[in-house]
Amino acid sequence: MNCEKYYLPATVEEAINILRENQGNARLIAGGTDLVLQLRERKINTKALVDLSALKELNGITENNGWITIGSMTTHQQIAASGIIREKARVLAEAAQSIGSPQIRNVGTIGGNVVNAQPAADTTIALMALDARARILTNQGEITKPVGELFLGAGQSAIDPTSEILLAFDIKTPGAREATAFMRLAKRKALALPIVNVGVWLKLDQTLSKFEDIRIALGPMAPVPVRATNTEAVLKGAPLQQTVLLQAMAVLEKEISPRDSLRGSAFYKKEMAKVLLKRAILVAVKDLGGELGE
Amino acid sequence: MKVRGKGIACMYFGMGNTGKPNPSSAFVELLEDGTANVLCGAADIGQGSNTTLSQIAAQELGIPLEGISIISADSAVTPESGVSSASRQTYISGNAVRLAAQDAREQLFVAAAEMLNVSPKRLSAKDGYIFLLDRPDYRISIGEVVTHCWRKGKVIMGTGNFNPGILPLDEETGQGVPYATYSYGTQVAEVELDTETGEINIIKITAAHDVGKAINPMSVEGQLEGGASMGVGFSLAEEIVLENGRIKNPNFHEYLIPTALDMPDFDPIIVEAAEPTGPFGAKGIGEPATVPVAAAILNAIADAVGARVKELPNTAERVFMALREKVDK
Repeated sequence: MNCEKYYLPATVEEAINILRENQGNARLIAGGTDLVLQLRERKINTKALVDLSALKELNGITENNGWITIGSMTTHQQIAASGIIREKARVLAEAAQSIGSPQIRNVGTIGGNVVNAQPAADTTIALMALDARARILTNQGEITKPVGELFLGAGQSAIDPTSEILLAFDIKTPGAREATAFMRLAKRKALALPIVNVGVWLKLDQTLSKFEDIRIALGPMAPVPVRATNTEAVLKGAPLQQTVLLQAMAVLEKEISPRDSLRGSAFYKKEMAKVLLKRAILVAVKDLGGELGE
Repeated sequence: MKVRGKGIACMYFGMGNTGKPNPSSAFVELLEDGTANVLCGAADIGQGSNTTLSQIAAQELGIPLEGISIISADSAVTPESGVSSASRQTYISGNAVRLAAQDAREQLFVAAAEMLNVSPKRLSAKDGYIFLLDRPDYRISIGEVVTHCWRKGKVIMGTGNFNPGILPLDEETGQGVPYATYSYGTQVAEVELDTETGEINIIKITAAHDVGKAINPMSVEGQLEGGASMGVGFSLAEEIVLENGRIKNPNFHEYLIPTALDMPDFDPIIVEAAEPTGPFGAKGIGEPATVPVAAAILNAIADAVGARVKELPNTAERVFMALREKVDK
């Protein structure tokens, strides 16, 4: 680590000014659970760090006018323990709860998890299933982007941490007949990266007999977190039937392209993606009082 | 679907280094306040050998445990005892300490017999006193005897040296006596298995092990649980992945050891079949508790689903593939 300066701004404005003055030589640090390791291993080099942890405005979960807002500096622990998230965005509460260990969850933030841009970042998978919008402060002012558009490649975020500040995520408060679920498979019960993780948001029709709408996000199935849009298309408007689910699983298999890794073979990951998708859908449907017929 | 199964595995394990001399030695020095210093090279790496060796010395000398000070694994002052490996310290260094304490006690009894004007054969020691076996109220404190000796110019200092009775193995035939004694154990694993993912949840491991004599039952239980928990890691997760001679997972986020959440319930059962050559009948238990775990778990998997995993660790993926092969057949 050869960082020479460490800034602790008190406002977002001060933070963006520091970034601007340093002209690409200063970089944001959130919880640091990934970044500090990358700095130590010299995978990332920076002359200065700008610590966002004093910015109260970036921390916390609120609900207003049909939107849930999560500040980018909100920790995994805060999200996992939040009544709003547990009740209205279960997929995200469970994703945050599954990350690392208590120590990591107490320090790591949702903003950091997303900007680190790993293909199976648990909160990213949940945010994509929730179709969350990211609010980003850039040199041109504040912009909004769907979370799914924030990834350029493995570990490559569309957000530049030397000039832009991820402020918050906005999620629509779920309406009636909407439910979410998160499923994850890992090599041990704590402190392990996922072999496969799946986030599902779905809406049933008025009679609870059809999928009205669905979003499926998965990792690590490609260099970036992915939505399974072909699989979603099979399910949208389809009746709640086992045969439909089997069709969806068959389409999913063709739609994803995981690779062999230490965590598992591509074959196993595909098989598990299918199993976890099925389980997530069953949990969400059951949550709404629905049931899958033959 | 979740299914359950039970599996049994048995093992025996030799105490000490295989077919090679591996002696241990100890000094026991008695002090005028009736306490004793024990010096032994055995390294206590958390397994509790300092406590066990102190208990052995206390028992042999008739001094309360709090009267024993042990200095171990300090090569500046302690005599050679060999390494803390091969489940050997309780058995081998335990014998060395016991012999050193016996040596010191015999010297002590000779002096005490003179002071009490009786034969040393009539003496015993307990709670810091030397007394007549047939008249326990006729006694003298160990401190008094040591002080008496010191004034007469004698230091009471015992030495002990123990080497297990092995015969080197013949290089061609492999014949010989590799170990002086063996530890025996049987374990039962109960597992729950997810047939869709291959995930295994170990519910309980019951570990019954013959330790000869449990010098310190609580530390033996700790060894049984600790050893079995390492066996769980060996079974479920721990794997060094090599590619062209290079280790692909040289760190603890890819070489996974189980966490507290991965641990089953343990039911340690101490079996005591006294070993005639062990200190108070004791044998080692460091490694044996690790040995049968994976075999018991694999048998439990086979019991649950009728498919055999033939490679360790038995990860969820390997269990899943074994299930697939069974279905394909």
